This record gives sequence, structure tokens and C-alpha cells, in this order.
Amino acid sequence: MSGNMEIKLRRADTIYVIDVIGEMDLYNAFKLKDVVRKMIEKKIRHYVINLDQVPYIDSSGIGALLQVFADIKKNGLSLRITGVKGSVRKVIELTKLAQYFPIVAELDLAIQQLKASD
Amino acid sequence: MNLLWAKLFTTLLLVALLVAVARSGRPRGLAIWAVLAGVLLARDLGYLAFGRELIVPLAELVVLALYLLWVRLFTGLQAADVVYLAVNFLALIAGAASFFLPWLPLTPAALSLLLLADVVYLAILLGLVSPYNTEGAEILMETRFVIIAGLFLVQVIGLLYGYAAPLIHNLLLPAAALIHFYVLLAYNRHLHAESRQAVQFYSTNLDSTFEFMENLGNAITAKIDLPRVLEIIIASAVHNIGADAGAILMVDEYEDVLRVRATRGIYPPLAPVPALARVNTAALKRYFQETPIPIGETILGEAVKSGQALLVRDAREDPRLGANREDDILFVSSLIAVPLVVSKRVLGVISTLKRAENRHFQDTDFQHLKTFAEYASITIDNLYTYLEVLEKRQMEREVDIAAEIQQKLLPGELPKLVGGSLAVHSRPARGVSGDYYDVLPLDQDKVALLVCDVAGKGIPAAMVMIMIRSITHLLVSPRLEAAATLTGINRGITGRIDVDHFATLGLVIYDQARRQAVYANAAHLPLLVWRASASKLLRVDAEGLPIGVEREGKYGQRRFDLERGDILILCTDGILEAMSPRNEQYGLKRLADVVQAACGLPANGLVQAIRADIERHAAGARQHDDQTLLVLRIE
Repeated sequence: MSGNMEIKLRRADTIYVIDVIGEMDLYNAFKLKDVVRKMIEKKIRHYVINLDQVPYIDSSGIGALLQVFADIKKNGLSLRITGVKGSVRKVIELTKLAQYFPIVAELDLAIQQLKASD
Repeated sequence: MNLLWAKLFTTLLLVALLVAVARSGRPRGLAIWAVLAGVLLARDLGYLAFGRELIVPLAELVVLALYLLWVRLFTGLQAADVVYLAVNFLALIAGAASFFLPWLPLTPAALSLLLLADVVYLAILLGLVSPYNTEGAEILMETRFVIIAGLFLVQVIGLLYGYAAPLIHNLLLPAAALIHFYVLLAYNRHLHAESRQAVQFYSTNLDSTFEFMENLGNAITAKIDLPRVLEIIIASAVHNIGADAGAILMVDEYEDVLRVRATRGIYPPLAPVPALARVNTAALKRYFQETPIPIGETILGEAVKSGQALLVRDAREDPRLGANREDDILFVSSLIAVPLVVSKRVLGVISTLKRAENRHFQDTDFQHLKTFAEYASITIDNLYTYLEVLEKRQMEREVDIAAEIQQKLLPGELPKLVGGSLAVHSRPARGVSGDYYDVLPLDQDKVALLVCDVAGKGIPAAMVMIMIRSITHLLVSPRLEAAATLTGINRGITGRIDVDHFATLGLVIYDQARRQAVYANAAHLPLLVWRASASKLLRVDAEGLPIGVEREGKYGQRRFDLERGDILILCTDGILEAMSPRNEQYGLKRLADVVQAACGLPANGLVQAIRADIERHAAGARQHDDQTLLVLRIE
């Protein structure tokens, strides 16, 4: 299951979109945590994590999302998660985190929401 | 006859010299010199045969054209040359024709004027030659004065006195051949020096590459430390090509920027710098190291984007280094930048500078750094791969240690119950489990059953498991409800663990006397309840987030009565998601079927039946999740 996972950053004004590409599992979930930790250090305020290109996530992947969300909240910053579908949605629902995570259906909408919060 | 000897003698000497040069290795343009010697020979023999003065300037026309071609060997032919060559050629044809058509107004004096114009053109060409625009300019620069002055003198004398006088034939023309001797000898010497230099270049290049490889080898065996390796690379590079400063910048893993990874000497930013960073060299160094360079911007960003190595011999000639010419602290006089490329992927860029006025890098330095960069790229790429493997191996070793710890956490033997039978099956995927289960008698009647799945693996996950187990063992009591127990566990854990090692936990408290069960659930799978009376497998669930996510998380619970023959099944995802070779999940439906078939058996038999059925389904397919199954049958 340890396929390659890549992370790409895009920027829309003050908002950074973090595209996760590939399966998120035990062996690579740390990458997302690392990236966001570095971004928080750089005082980036708005984050969108886009899971549109994630075909599979395991509990370590969910753990990484929880960690990232906790770090962002702790620093008073804002996060949206988009592209939640298929088996990723199923896992999030099974762990009862669908309401807990700030999930937004569309990427554009997430960006709009964050812009409005500025 | 005596008119012939002196000239013929010098011409033959020239031929002898040519033969010697040709034997010592065939330099570029040897043919030009051979033709030149041939023309001189033809001139002398032609003069002997026909005694016409015109032959001399006609031969000179060809000689000058040959000089032009020789110079153009270095600089490449240009449009204006075509005019030059065409005019000379036409004059040559006209001259030859005038032998047979005496009325043609072509005099030696007219040809002399054309020859003078030729020399002036040649002078302009040679005057423009410099090391910056011409490869191998040194030979042209060394000989240009003699060429121009000599040829000019010959044509002026020819114009003033004509070419027929015996003095001209016995002195001037043989002396003129000395120009050709001189140039050819100088050219030959240069070629020898060049090949000697090339040999020396390869041997020093080889030496420094070996030295570099040795340094690098030491750095790698001591301990894999990428920053240290990069420092050694840049230090060796700067040392070996006599640079004043150097830097290695690597492409960021996630963003399209370059980050400074190692520097040597004082490498100033190659772009305008805010005043605050120019206060002193320490501030400048810090500013350079901390400012990422977008790929495509500044000369370094461009080198990475294009993947092309570049040499800026003189920073004055490159507008991109404008900011580095004005300010002393930023001053750069010469630059080399070579992208670090492995199989078409650009990893970063290595760059060196000269910072003293009028000291410039040479082509040999450029070649050196390119060789270096090639070796360094492969080394860095290997290191990256190695570090990745190492990290993975480290993770796997941790996972093994954690597996040992975790084995000790699980109950050795399940307690015997009065009102029911208990059985468990737990099978880790790939040697380790993130699953934890427990059965805790609370008093004579009550017993707690729990199944817990910790996210992640390895030591951190095992630690979380230990914490959850300890808190649970401390907390459970016959007077505490299932939901309150989960609330307590969650409070104890949240904030003390990294949330990425969250856990899901299902807790059943069964009261044997009342035949009543309560289920509380921290985002684990629903409890499966087999109703003997209805022959149905039901799902019982309750509200709640995973353990470790929200300190103030609220937990619900469900209470229900049981009858003899009812069965409670607590399991982890690994059971329902067990994969067949065709990637089908085991699923609730199939579990219900096997429970129905085996519902008459005590817990132990039922677990065996389910286990066997899962194994049939999986048919040897590799499982990627732990499987835990805890069964209580009411007797």
C-alpha cells in the first residue's frame, strides 16, 4: 500500500492550496505534517487541503489530517478540506470525523470562504 | 634566373615547414597553408615562364583571401567576407583574362590598391578579435601586428615601385614570405601548447575529481549527513577552480523555489538586496541563505529552469548581474552556474564566483565545474534514495519493537464467565498490530470488553496503546457507565498524545446477572449483535469522536437486553475489509451468513468458523490491516 504520495503547493493570494496526490498511508502521511508545520512557521494563514487526487487513505493518513487541523487551529489559522470522495469519504465517515473536519465540497468554494474570512 | 632563386628558395622552405607541421599532427587549416605555398610556387614559376609583372599582385590576391579564410577558421565566416572574396575572385579572373585581352585596363597599380583595401579589411577583423568573442583568440592576437604590418608594407611598396624591379624580386618578395613563416610557426607552437594544456587539464581535472570523491567518500562513511556532503562539494569546487565564493542551491521539495543549502566564502545574492541586508557581510550571508529564489528568476533560477550551464566571464557584459557591479559588498566579476541534473531532473544548481576586479573564470574552470557538478548530482541523488530507504528501514525496525511491546499488553487468557463464553482472534498485518483488545471483569456480574485501533504504527502508536490500556485499567469500575468510561479515557489521553495517533475504541459492559449490555463507541465500528430470536445480525452504534481528538468530546451509549444464544461481536476494520485476491472486501453480509450457520456453537467454535471463512475469502491474498475479532455468546 505504500505507493508514492506527492504534495504540491499552489497559491491564491493569501491562501495556499495543498494538493495531495496519491495514497496517504503509514509511510508517507508525515509529509503532509511536515509541509504544514513549515508553512505555519512561515506565518501562512489560510490553508486548503485538496484530497481530490487521493484514491486511498488509512488511519495514519486520517491521523495526519487530524494533526494538521489541530496545529492550524492551535495557531488561530484557518483550514478547509476539499475533494473528499470515494473511499476517503468512507474512511472519514467511519471514524465519525465528517462533521469534525472543515470539509467543503468544492475547491473554489473553500477559497471563497477563506477569502471572505480575511 | 637569379630572380627566381631567392623566391623559390623561401617558397621551398615554406613547403618544408608545412611538411614538418603536418607530420607533428594535422592542425586545423593546414590545407589553407598548403594552398598558400602552392600559390607562391605557381607565382614564381609563372613569372619565370611569362615574365609578367601582373602575376605578382594576382598571387597576392589569393594569398590575402587565404589569410581571410584562416582568420575565419576562428571566428566563423560573415556576410561581408563574401563581398571581399567575390571582388578578389573577379579581379583574379579579370587579371588572368588580361593576359589574352591586352586592352583590359588592369594594371598592377590598380591591383595594389585593391590589395591595400584587403589588408585594411583584414586589419579591422583582427582588431576586433578578443578572448571574449573568439575561441583560441590568442594566436590571432599574437600574430596580428606582424600580419597586418607586413602585408601592408608589401602592398605599399608594390604600389609605389611596382613588382617588376629586381630588388623587389630578390629582397621584398622573399622577405614577405617570412610573414607566412612567422605565422605558421606561431600557429604550430600554439597548437602544441594547447594540446599540452589539454593533457594537463585532464590530469588536474582527474586529480581534483579523485580528491573530491575521496572527501565525499569519507563524509558518507562517517555518517550520512546531506548538509555536510553539500558543504564538502562546494568547498572542493571553490578550491579546485580557484573561485572566491561558491554556493549550492537545491530545488525545494514542494515549492518551485531554490533554497540555499551550502555556501563557501561570501556569495552575495545575484539580485538587488534591501539596505538592511547590506550593512555587513554577516547580514548579507544570512539574507542570501534565508531568501528562496523562485525558479526562473535571477541568473541561478534561470540556469535551473533551462537546465543549461553558463559561464559569465565578465560580469560587466551581463545585465543580469547589474546589481552586483554597483555595490562593493555585492561585487561579482565572474560567474559560473551549473545545474545539478540527474536523468533530466534538475535537483539544484552549483555556482562559483570570482569577486576581485578583473579576475575572470576561464573555459577550463567552466569544464572543471561541469565535471564536478555531474559527479555531485549523481552522489546527491544516490544519497536522497539511500536516506529514503534508511528512513523506511528505521520505521520498520520500530514497528518490530512495538510489536513486542504490544504482545505483552494483550490479555494472556480470557476470563471464564458464568453467563457466557468468550473467544478472540487477532492477527496482525505484516507482523505488527495497531489493534488492542481487552476483557476486564469489573465485579461478580459485570465484565468490560473492548477493542481499540490506534492510528499509525511503531513505537509512538505502541505508547498510545500503553496509555490507553493503563487509563482504562485504572478507570473501569462497576459503577462507571460505558459512556463515562470513554469520556474519562479521552480526557486522559487528549493533549498527551500527538493527535495523529488517535484511536478508535468500542467498549461493551455486559452485566451477566441482568443479561444486559451497554455499548459506548469512540468512532469504532458499530457493535454487531446476533439476535437468536430473529436470526438477524444487527448493528448497534453510539455517538462519539475518536479518542485523542477533542478533550471535551461527548460520548453516547446504547443499552439493550440479551437472551440466551445472542452473540456480541466486536471487530476492527481488518475483518470486514479483508481482501480477496480479486480485491473484494469480506463485508458484513458474508459475516452474517457465517454467524447464522455457526450460531449454535460456543464462542470459540464461532470464532474458528469466522476465521476459516475469512481465510477462504482471502485465499492467501496479502492483508494490509490488522484483524481483531472478539466474540461473546450468551449461554
